[in-house]
Amino acid sequence: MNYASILKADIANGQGFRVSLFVSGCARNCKGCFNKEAQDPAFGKPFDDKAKQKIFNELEHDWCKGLSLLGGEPLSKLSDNRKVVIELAKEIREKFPEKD
Amino acid sequence: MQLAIEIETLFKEKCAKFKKDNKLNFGVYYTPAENLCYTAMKKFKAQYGEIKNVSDHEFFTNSMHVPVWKKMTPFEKIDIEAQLTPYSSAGCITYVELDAGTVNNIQALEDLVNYAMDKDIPYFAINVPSDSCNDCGYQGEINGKCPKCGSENIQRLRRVTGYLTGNYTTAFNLGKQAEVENRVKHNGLEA
Repeated sequence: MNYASILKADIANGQGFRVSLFVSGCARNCKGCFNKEAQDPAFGKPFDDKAKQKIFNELEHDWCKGLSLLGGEPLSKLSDNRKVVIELAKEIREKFPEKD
Repeated sequence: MQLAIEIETLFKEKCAKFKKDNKLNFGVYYTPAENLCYTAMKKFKAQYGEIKNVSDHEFFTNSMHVPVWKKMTPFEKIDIEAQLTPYSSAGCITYVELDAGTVNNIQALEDLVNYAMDKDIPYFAINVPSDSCNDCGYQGEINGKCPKCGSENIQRLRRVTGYLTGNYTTAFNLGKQAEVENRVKHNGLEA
């Protein structure tokens, strides 16, 4: 899975201050898509351990309410998004049970 | 930070001495310096020229603020400024810049204000752009034309030095205008 960006202290994509992950890849091609370039599963960079660590570092802050998943399509079948995102969600649930 | 604390301590001690010697109520005030931040920089440049990280902008950063162009979260900014607010006995402010999305995220506002209070910030402000379309009444942050009706008749309210200003491109001196252009938002930064 590739991702386009990780935003910290994001207030535009959920309640409170959050960390947001914009994954790449979406086959839907909806009218009015706000991230057309991220429809390509090859857009951005590979979601590696370093990227994952960035998300964990943000979740460490008391003020960070949780993780928002955006895209692209986090559950897209164009790449292994579904598997990677579910694994990530499970790991966060375990490490940071108080976050949403 | 050590140097900043030494300077503020000096101000604080001098003030205490003036107070005692003159029996007058002196205080350390962290000024917005609306005009001075520009005229002092002009004079500084005339005398010393352009020095990197000292005089390479159109204005001096007033008070103990983190320079407005530094990209950081509101929490990092509060953590830095909270170390210097205790030295001001006569008034100071700490502010952060958020985008117009704040209106849909009251939880974020509440968490941020609570964080500032926990850090003993005496006076805290959140600056949010408030644009409105004079033709259809749309409110939010409007870049260029109104997204609802396409009008270019837009009123742009910005909070710069303690009060709201209708048109920041004409209502301020060149120094503060440059400061507004240099300001960055403290939310939604690349991690």
